[in-house]
Amino acid sequence: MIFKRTIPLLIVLGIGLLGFLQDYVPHPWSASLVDEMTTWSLILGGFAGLLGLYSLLHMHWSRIRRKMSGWGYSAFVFIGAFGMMAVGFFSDSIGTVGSGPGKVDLYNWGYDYIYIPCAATVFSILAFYMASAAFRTFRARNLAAGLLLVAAVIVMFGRVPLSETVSQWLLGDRQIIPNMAKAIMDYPNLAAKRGILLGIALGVISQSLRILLGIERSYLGGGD
Amino acid sequence: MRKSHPVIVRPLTTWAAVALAAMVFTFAFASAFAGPAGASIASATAPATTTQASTGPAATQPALTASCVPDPNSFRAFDVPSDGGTGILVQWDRPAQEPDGLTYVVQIAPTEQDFQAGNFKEAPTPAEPGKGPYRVAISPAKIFCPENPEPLTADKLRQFAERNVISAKQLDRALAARALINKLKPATQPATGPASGPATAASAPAGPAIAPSPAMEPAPAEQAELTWYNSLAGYLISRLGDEFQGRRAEVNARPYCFRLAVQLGGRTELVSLAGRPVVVEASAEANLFKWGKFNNLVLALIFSAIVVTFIEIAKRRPGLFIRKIAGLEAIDEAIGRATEMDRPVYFIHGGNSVDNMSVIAAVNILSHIAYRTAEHDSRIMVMNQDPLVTAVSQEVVQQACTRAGRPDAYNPDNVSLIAYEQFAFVAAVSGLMVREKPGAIFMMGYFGAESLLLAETGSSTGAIQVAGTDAYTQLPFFVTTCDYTLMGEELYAASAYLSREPRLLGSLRGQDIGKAFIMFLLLAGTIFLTLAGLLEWKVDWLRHLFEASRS
Repeated sequence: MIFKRTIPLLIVLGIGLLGFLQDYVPHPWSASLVDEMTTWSLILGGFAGLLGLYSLLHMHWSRIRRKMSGWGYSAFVFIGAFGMMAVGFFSDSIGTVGSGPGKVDLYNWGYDYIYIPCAATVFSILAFYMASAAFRTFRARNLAAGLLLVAAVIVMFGRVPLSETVSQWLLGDRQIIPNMAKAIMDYPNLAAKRGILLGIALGVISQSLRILLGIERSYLGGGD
Repeated sequence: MRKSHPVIVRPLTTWAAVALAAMVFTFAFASAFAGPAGASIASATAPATTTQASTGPAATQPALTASCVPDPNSFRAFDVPSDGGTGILVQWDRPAQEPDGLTYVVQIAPTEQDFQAGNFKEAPTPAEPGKGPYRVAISPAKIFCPENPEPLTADKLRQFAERNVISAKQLDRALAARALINKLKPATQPATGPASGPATAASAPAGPAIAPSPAMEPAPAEQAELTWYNSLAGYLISRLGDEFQGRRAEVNARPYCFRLAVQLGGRTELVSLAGRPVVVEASAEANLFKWGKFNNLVLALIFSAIVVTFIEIAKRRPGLFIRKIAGLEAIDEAIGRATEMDRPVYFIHGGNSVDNMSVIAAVNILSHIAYRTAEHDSRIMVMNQDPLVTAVSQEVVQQACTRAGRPDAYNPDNVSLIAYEQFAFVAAVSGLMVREKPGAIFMMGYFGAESLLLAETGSSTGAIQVAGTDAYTQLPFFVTTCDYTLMGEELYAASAYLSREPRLLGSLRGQDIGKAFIMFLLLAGTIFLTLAGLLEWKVDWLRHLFEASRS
């Protein structure tokens, strides 16, 4: 119990208090302590990277071995991981790809011309999902949704140049609709945002205290 | 599965929404017709700008008289408080007269004798309108040290070799690589100096040139040498940077002497007492407390005291009332539904590592969900983006299964790193969702653009979705696509709420009291400052009371 609970809780208390106090201490010792802790976290992160790689490959190997649904995708993980490793290790021997300013080694080519376009494709789907989510949200089923719809239309329309022309035509002043959009963003929206941020700050302090005092132990696996 | 409210609450909520919306739209319309909010501020600050603009060169330069010289007894130098030993503060009172063009010059030297030898530096400060004494913070390192570390030259490489930082063989190899860089580079400009680092090493000029010539391509073996040299240079430059910072700290730590002079119309007058220039001495010292953050510390301690008090109260009086959080009430229901449908439960972590509080909060929630899942004999899949979070989650799920009396339910393959990159993670998790059709999906932690991609895909599979995040920009997406959303602080309250442990619930009550305290301060402060503006009260003290130093 001492090794599983008491010592980890003492380490958490000590490091937590040091981390809290260093924010109020301007002495160079404080800065060097932060540097030292950052270095340690980088070292731990490096070892965790190996564990993560093992976890990833083990999971996908299990899926292939058991012929689970979609096991073919798991094979791509091995192809991608070991392919990029091989290219990285032997990059100097393989030489470069392309010509002119786009001339890069095969390792960077794989990243620039395979991974980046794939990531951009996934990201671009977001536009369609946004449209679908907006359609569901803005259906004026009740008063609150109706108000949300009106506010959203004003903000969206007020942020395109056409709103100035329409403002002039309908209300005789080019800035009325853009100013309404700005006012909605600057006051009610900002107030709500800051309210959430204050709540988050208090939540973080409260959780930190629970952890420092050893009351919250779920992150150690829970239980006593 | 949709949220439901008690019948009595619904009309109240609707009327509250109507009232709020009416206020918002009235305010929006009023602001729109009144013009941008910044206009009044701009006009209020206009006179100050005009005053500054008028301080140009005068047509006739006034004479430098004794009334333009500050009181010699007011000239002082002392350590800048609350800093890391980098600055000295020099202070003097305003003289009786400050004509246009008057400039104060602080002279700084290591010893008093250096002033007589003319071996000193100057820091000019133009006179500015205002009240109170002048205070100028001087960092000796900025005055007596070069601005940047020395570049990595061939001589520096040799010095590193003499100090055994690099071997003689490495020195020869590095010098050969530098020669290669000079050979390969197009001769577009005359040589000004050697390469200083990896970024500039490849652009080191070869020597004087008449016409530009195209760059030569390195052979594969040469490229390998250049790559090796860039790695070595990166290390050596970081060492030079560390040594440079060490020298700056040494320079800052020495004592320095200061004199003050006044300049006007080409004439300079030293501030003197009994015919001798006043010399003051001070040194910069590393301090142990940032007094600029004292108010911040006091507020943090007050809030901590409130939380600890309520933890103690909860220990003595269990059964403390805590407001209901619908998203957390639904967790058992979601796990039960997934069990009935014989589908897995997905727990998706956000994008940060374990040094972030939202990840700790998510791990705490995971512990409860894994325990419940093990009790229900259901399968949980934990998706991670970070290796450290993966390791922690594996431990937490294993412990939770053991606590539930089902250690055999833990399978490390179910708590795995999915991908480190954001969109690779999205693609992999979306694919798993579509193929496995989970019964319940929990998304907890800090999310970016992946929030809507994951939540929409999850929604299309028909799973109950509960999300919790402190990323306020992603909240609208989760609210739209998930059945329940834990907003901001609710994410941090979740673990305490789920455990029902009196002490943890007490901390939640303390958190709510703290929030009420801040709301009261905001309201009272707004009313007070509005009144102060109307009645022209001086309320700078209030601003100072709550303004925290950012340094």
